[in-house]
Amino acid sequence: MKGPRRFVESLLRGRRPRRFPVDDTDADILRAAIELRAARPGSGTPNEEFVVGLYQRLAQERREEAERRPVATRRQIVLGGALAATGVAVGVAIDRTLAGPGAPAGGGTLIPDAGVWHPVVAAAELPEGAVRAFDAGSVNGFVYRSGGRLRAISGTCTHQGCRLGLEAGMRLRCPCHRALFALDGRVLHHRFPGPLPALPRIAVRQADGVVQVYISA
Amino acid sequence: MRRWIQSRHKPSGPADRPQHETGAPLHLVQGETYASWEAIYLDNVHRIYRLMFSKVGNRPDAEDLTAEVFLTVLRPLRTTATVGEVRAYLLTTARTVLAAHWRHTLGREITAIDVEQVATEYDHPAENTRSAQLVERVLAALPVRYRRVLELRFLRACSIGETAAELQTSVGNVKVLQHRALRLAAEIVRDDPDAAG
Repeated sequence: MKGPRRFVESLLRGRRPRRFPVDDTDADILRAAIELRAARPGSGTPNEEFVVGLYQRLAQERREEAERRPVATRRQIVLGGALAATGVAVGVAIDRTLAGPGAPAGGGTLIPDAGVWHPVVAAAELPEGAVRAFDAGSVNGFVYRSGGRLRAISGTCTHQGCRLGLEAGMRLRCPCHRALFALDGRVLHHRFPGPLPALPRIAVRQADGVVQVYISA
Repeated sequence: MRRWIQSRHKPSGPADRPQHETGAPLHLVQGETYASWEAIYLDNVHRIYRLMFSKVGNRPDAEDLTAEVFLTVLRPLRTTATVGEVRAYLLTTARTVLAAHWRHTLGREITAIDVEQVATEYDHPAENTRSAQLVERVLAALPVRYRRVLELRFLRACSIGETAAELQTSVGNVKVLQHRALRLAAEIVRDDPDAAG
C-alpha cells in the first residue's frame, strides 16, 4: 500500500507524484484522491507566473516560426498585427526571453569524419508533409518533407540517449523522461533543471528517386 | 506583467460581441472567431489548467500538461477558426495529452477527459459544479469521522499533525483513518454514475 499512500501524500503536499505499479483498487483510490484534492478552493487557478511564462514561450515559438518562413502568409500577417497591438510590456518580455540564458542550445548538423549517403526511403513514399523514421545502424532519426524541402533529424534524445518516438505526426517524444522536440530539432518541452540541447540535424538529399542521409561509413 | 494579463484578459475576444442577455459574466459565443492568438491563449489557458488540475490533482503536472496542450495546438490552429472550433480542438488535444500522461507515468488511465461532457462546463466555468457536487455526495455518504479527516486533509490543507489535534487523536490514527476513509470514498466514486473517471 506504500505506492498509493505516497501518491496521495504528494497530492496533499502539492508535489508531482512518483510512479508505482497500479492495480484496480489503487486506481480507484487515486481517482478519489484527485477528485478530493481538486475540490480544494482555489486549486483550479493557475499561478500567474506560469500563465505569463507559457505566453512568452508561445510568442517565441511563433516568432521563430515566422523567421523560418520568409514569405508571409495571411495567418502570419494577422498574427504579426496582433503582436504589434499587444503593447510595450509584452515586447520587452519577449526580448528578454530570447536573450536570456534559457534559450536552447543549437543542435548543429551531424557531419561524420568518414561518411556515406545511406538510402532510407523511396522519394515517392515521402510526399509533402510526411515524416518517416529511419534506422541506419550508427544513426537513427526521422526524415520529412516540408515546404518542398527535405530535412532529417536525429532520433536520439539529447538528455540520456533514449530513442524518440513520433507523436501526432509532428513532434518527437522521449519515452524515458517525456522531453518533447519539434521536427526541426528544437526543444519544445522538458522537465530538467538545466537547458536541454536541440537535436542534431542530419544532411539529407534525394538522388535517383531515393531519399538518402549522410552518416558514418 | 500581472497587470497586463488582467487588463488583457477580457477585452481580448471579438471586438463587437453582444452583452450577455442574462447578465451573467461575458462569454464568447461559439460562432464567433478570436481576434488573435493572444485572444485564444488568454481566453483558454485558465480553463485548460483548471480542467487538467481536476484530472491530475497537482500543480506541476497540471502546468506541464497545460503547456503541452498549447504547444501542440500552436501551429495547426488557424485564427480564422470559430471559438467553438478552437475550444473543441483544445479539448480534443487535452484529452490526448492527458491519456499520454497516464500511459507514460502509471501505465493506465486514472482519469480521462470526456470531451462532450466537459464542453458545457468549459464554456461556463463559473457554473462548473459537477466535481464539487460529486465530492459533496461522497463526503455526505461517509461516516462522520472519515468525512472530517478528508475535509481537513484535502479541502482545508491541514497537515497530519493539525488534523490529529483537530480530531483529538494521534498522528498514527489519522493516517489509518485517512487511508480507510479514502478507500471507502474510492468505492463511492467508483459506483457514482456521474463520476467521469
